[in-house]
Amino acid sequence: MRRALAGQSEAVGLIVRTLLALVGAALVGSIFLAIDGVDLGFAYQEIFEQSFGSSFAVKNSLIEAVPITLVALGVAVAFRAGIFNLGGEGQIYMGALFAVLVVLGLSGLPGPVLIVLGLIGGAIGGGLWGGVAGALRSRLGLSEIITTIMLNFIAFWIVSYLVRGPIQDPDGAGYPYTKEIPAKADLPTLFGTIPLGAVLLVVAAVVVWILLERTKTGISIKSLGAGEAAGRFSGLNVERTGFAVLLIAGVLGGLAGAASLLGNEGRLSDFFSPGWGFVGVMTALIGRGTAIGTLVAGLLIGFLNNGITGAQSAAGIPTSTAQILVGVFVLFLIIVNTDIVATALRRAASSLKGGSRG
Amino acid sequence: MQIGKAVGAIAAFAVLASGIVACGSSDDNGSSGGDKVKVAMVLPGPINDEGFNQSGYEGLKQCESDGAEITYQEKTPVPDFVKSFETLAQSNDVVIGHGFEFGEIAHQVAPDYPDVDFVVTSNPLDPEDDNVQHLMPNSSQGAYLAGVAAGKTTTSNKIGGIAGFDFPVLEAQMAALEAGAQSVNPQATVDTVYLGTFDDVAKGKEAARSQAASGVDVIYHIADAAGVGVIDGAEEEGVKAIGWGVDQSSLAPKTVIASQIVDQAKMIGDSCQQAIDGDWKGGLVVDGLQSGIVELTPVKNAPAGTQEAVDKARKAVIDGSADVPSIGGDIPGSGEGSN
Repeated sequence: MRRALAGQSEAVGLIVRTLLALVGAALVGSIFLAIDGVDLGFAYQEIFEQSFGSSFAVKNSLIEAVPITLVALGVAVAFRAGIFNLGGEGQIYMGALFAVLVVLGLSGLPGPVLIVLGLIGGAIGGGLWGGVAGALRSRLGLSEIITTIMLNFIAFWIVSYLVRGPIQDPDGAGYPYTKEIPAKADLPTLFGTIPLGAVLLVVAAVVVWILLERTKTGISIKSLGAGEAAGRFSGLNVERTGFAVLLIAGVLGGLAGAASLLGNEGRLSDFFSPGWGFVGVMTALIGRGTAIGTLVAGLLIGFLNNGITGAQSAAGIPTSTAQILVGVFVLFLIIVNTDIVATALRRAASSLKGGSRG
Repeated sequence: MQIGKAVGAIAAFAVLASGIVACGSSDDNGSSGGDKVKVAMVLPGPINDEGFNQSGYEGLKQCESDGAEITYQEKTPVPDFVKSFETLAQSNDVVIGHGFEFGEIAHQVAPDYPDVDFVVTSNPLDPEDDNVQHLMPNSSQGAYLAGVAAGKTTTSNKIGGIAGFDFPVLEAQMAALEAGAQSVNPQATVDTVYLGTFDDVAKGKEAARSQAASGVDVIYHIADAAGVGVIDGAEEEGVKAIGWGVDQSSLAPKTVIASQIVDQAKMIGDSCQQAIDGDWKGGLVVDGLQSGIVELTPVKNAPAGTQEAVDKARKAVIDGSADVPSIGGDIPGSGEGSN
């Protein structure tokens, strides 16, 4: 009973914080919109329309959320171990590369088999990339902050080289991209609204939750996060856990790439990811490193992003202002989810309760 | 309970958003205004890049002055292409994708929106769908004239060519530049650099400076915003430059000898006019010097006789007696001088 109540107030806290962030961001965002002479009511109405207003809008918002959230889950797992995975971008590119190679190479197979193999390929590609950073960390003690960033560059340029040479589309008039994957390998959309990638997303979040909260590995990850020296003293295999964490993060990043390839882009180019790996870091931060928090944060950012890009042309919001707006929302979401603000809110709430009784 | 959190947070956003709507303006959507033809454009870059994207936007403005109602989406990242195309197709009569890469997106979306006219710029392929039009300016013809001007102007016989990427359309123009230069100056060679960016002004400037240091004395660019850096670098090094896209002489009046105009805007405006008049048709449209879609601005800061040579070459290109490498024809291997 007590536990349930505590859980409930936690949920209420999350809703209050999110609401607060959205109101604050909307207010600050309005300043920028007003400077541009945009009709505020119409602008926010359009943002809402374009993110939630129709099944087409919801579908696109979810498509937007898929790669961001998947890669963010990988960052979140690493956060819990006190490890900074800044390599999401590289893991996405390697995942997408493996997926496109598998799907184009085995294009004779039936669609569902291709989809499963493509996703597995993506997980392997991303896992390999995360694993390299993990091995460098546990074998040589190299900081993952540096290695994951460097591996981003390497992955990007490997893909860039391949799509301009060995795997370039011969019918693409020289454009740097691969052939398109066969239509049967496209991730289907359920009920015309829910892309299969979104289902994958929820499954991945649940798996990560189970991993962190219900398994021995999860305990190891969290005790590594509590402090390496303490962990080592209590018998934790620090090296192995650190390696496993980056491997898992890589698998999730690779899945993000594969899901965007099969569910949206259909081909690999060196413009494949517009920086999801870094958006993922912010998303995990907003989600406070928990699986469910990251899922919620990723969905929020997906809907916001899609709503704001869609509203650009409809409401005449200049692109730069739209980007500022997204940034303001994200910043507010991060601010309200810091420990200081969360604690202050909790205190305010309890004193309010006390006051009303007394 | 965990799922309850997720639903809660989403509901919270929904409530908030609708609350704002409620206290905002009560105007209707506004999209039902009259029977104007509605034209929308998706651009990969910023509309004020002094180059490719700006020329597309100017085309859209022509549609507006032709009487269309316009909207656009700029700086669109690749993963958003399909989504943007489809979103705009739902509420517009004409949807324009600015750039070759939209050809395939149009092919993907067009069958679902048979009443919408789709236009793709810079695409030399013949579209498969009846409601898709590809517009291809024959820019190589302009590059050939730029080559003639450069060949007449250079004293070191070294001409520089700086382009954003090694796309075939750009490679063809570099080949045409060399052909034009050699038609008036057999000793001239073209030294080509591909920057790997259309946006990095500093990189464009650096490339121009290093070309000047290697003895190049006329630099031609096809690099949009980065090309602004190319002209800047040429000015600093005291060598000549040839602009691209729009008349760029105002960037460095003493440095720029001419600009290759590629008037995508006129092609786009013409297509809109057809849609407004009701005689728009799908298919491939190629146009160049003949109708002024492609041109070289009057030459200045160049030796006497340069303008005359350009005018002569223009005639030869139009009547077909000059051999201009174009994207459809033979593109000589890049960087291999044939003299």
